[in-house]
Amino acid sequence: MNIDNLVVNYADKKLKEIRNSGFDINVYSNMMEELTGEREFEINGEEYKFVDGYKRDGDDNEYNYGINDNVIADVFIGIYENLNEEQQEEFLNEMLQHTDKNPYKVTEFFEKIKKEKEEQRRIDESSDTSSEDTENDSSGDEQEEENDLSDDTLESNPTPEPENEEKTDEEKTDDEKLSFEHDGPAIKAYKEETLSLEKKLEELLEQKSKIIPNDNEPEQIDNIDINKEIAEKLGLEVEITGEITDIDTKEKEIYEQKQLLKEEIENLNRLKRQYDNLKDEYITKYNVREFESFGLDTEMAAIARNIEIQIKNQESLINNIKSKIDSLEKTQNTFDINVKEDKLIDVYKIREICDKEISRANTILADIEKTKDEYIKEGKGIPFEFYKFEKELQNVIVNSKEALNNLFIRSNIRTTDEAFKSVLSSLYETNNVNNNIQKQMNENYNRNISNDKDDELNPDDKNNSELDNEIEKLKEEISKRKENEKLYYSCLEDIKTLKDAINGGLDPNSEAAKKIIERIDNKKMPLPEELKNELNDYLNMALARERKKIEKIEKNPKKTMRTYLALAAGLGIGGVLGFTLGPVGLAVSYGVVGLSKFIVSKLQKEARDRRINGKKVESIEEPSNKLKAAVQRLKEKALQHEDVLRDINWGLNGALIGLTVGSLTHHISNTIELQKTVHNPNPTPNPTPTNTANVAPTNNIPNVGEHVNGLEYGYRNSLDAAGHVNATHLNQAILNDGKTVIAGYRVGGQTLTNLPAGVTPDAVLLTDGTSTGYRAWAAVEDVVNAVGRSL
Amino acid sequence: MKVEKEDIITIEGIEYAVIDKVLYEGTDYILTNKYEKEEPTETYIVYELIDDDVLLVTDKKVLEKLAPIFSKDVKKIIDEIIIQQKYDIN
Repeated sequence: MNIDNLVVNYADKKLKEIRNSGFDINVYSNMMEELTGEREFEINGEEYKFVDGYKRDGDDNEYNYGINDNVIADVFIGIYENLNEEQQEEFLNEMLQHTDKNPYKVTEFFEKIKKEKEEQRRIDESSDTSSEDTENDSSGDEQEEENDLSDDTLESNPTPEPENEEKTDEEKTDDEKLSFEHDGPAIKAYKEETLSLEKKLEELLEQKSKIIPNDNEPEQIDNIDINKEIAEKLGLEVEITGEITDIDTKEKEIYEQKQLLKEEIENLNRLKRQYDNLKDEYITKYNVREFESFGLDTEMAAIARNIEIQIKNQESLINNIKSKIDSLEKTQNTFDINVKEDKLIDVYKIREICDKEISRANTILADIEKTKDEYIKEGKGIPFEFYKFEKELQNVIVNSKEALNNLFIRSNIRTTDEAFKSVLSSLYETNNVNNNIQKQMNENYNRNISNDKDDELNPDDKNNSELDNEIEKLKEEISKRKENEKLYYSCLEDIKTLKDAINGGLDPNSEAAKKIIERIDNKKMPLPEELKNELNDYLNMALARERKKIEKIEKNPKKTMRTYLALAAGLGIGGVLGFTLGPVGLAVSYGVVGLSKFIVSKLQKEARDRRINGKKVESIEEPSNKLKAAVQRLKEKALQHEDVLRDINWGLNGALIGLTVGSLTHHISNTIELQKTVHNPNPTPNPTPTNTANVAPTNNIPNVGEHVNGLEYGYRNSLDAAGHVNATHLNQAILNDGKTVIAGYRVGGQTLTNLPAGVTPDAVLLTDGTSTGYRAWAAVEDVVNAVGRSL
Repeated sequence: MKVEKEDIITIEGIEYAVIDKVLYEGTDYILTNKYEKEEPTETYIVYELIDDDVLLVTDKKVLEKLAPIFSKDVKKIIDEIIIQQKYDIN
């Protein structure tokens, strides 16, 4: 990257702005290829070094001038801000390579930029990482985290969308053109139009004002030439060197000399006329075709000679007077004034005022000229004060121009337009000036003042007011457009929120959705049609459900829903399981509860209803540690078959949430039975129904006594028993079929044989088919023991 | 490949077990249960099947119609399971 060119280009651009304001500055830059610091500028014929801010004179002496760090920094910062992103990166690196050469402020600025960029990069990288982490978590080790049973329909692991190739607008489909990721065509065009209006405004402002450069760009020179009075009025602390002469005396002398000059010029003209008359007379008298000399007439020749000498003398006299006037004029009102360092003036404000004052002064001078002509016509002499006033105005002009050319003052007085105005008005004071003239001048002055706006003295310029109007209109329009853009994006945010909600499951026809839509509709009312229409398109996109890809279909998976439903079945709730409309999609009956919770609530209900001989059964609560330990032992010791273990695990996970001992046992028992049947491919065939008594148990399933007095209904298996489903009219055949797990029952007076060890008769209870009072199973330990033994 | 009951499908990285599939008014709908770490959850989601894509069904009217159909089907499944458990494993 050629930094030199960048600086030059930037400087040129800035210079153009400065030149347009009326300054006369030549700036050149002579950059070294690497930023080694010998950057030179020439301002007003004086050379300045950029880096160290010294001024070099013809003898190469250096004076601390102070194009200071701020100026340098502003240039480099200005350049940086005008580069594109890629260039900025390169520029930044180069600037930071040369921190020893650059002023501190430059380094500080670019280091800050670098830090901000690095911070942004870190943020971007960490947000990429966190989205990857989310995806990894979803397939993590199942033992790591607890199951979250909360309704998380709306959550999904973000999968990164496939990246689209960058297409031009022409290549994109309509759908692609309109995307929530980037500006739609209507808002894009709208913003571009706003931008072009802003550029136009910039041009108009530039046109209107003589561009006032950035307030942060003051430059400084050592000495300024400024009218002493102005300096003092401006509150500058000045140290005056040079000759101070009385202004009035000088003015008077100049005036007198000029009067004299006029007279002598008149005399000269008169002499010339005399000479011409003599010539004519000679030509007529001697009928000469072309005059060469007065040779034929000695008398005439002598007269002519005399006139020639007088003319010569007169011309000489006139030249002398002119020289004198010149020398008098040169020495007036010039002082060397050194402005003290701590006094600052808003240079550019002064310049603006100077320009206006120059313009005003010129107007008044024109008036003065007219008035003078009238005086002359009337044969009156023009009073000295008149000329003084005129002179002072001219001084204003001259000094202002000089000030504009030379005035780079670093100032801490923000603005001195008030002071400056008072200076000018004091110059306009018309002591001893003819009243009429004064009045006329005051009228001019006042006319100009009445055209002022913002308390500034504006020249009476018709063109400016038209320009002002145009500028104002443009400003208003731009402001309105910016408001519209803000509103548009606000509506778009609402639409995005709605889209996310709908994709998460919100019914687009729901009241909530309708409310959001209504809010959006109201909000977008003030917008222009094209923006409204685009937002409508976005809204339609949001309301449309998002089509999702099925990424994978697993056939015959290990754990299917059936397995899960088997649990449901095993827990006896198959008969009552149903789906109903929940707040989001479908939910299991009984409100939005999970199967396990449903089970709990159901069994709790049962427990409330259940009575065993008038006694209440234990309530459903968190399984005891005893139970849990028993289950654990069961798993570890008894069950070797993996599927059983897995299925029990499944069931147990659910079951452990507040089920009864009984239900759990029954589940385990049932599962075991299932498995036992699997591993016993030749089960005992169904025995023929015989007398109930003394039938040998099959597969270690406890038999019951023969007699089934009082027994109306039973359940073919524990599942049914727990769930009170499929109540069966019991008979011995069923009891003895080897596949039936019998609910505990008590047969009055009967002997129960082949019960599992530890199971006592009173531990079983025969159901009478009603929902009241049965105690299904033996204690878990007993089951465990029994099972353990049986296996 | 068509989605059927008993399948496990993956959508946006999440697994869903397909509990039931019904044809209602000319459209295929599936009742799914969201899996988390290979375990079922309490989240049931109905999707509309369109070729290889799914559309989330949130329309209340449609869900109200589908809910009892699904309920009936699931009950049937459970009843089948129960019977299987009683008599046979497979």
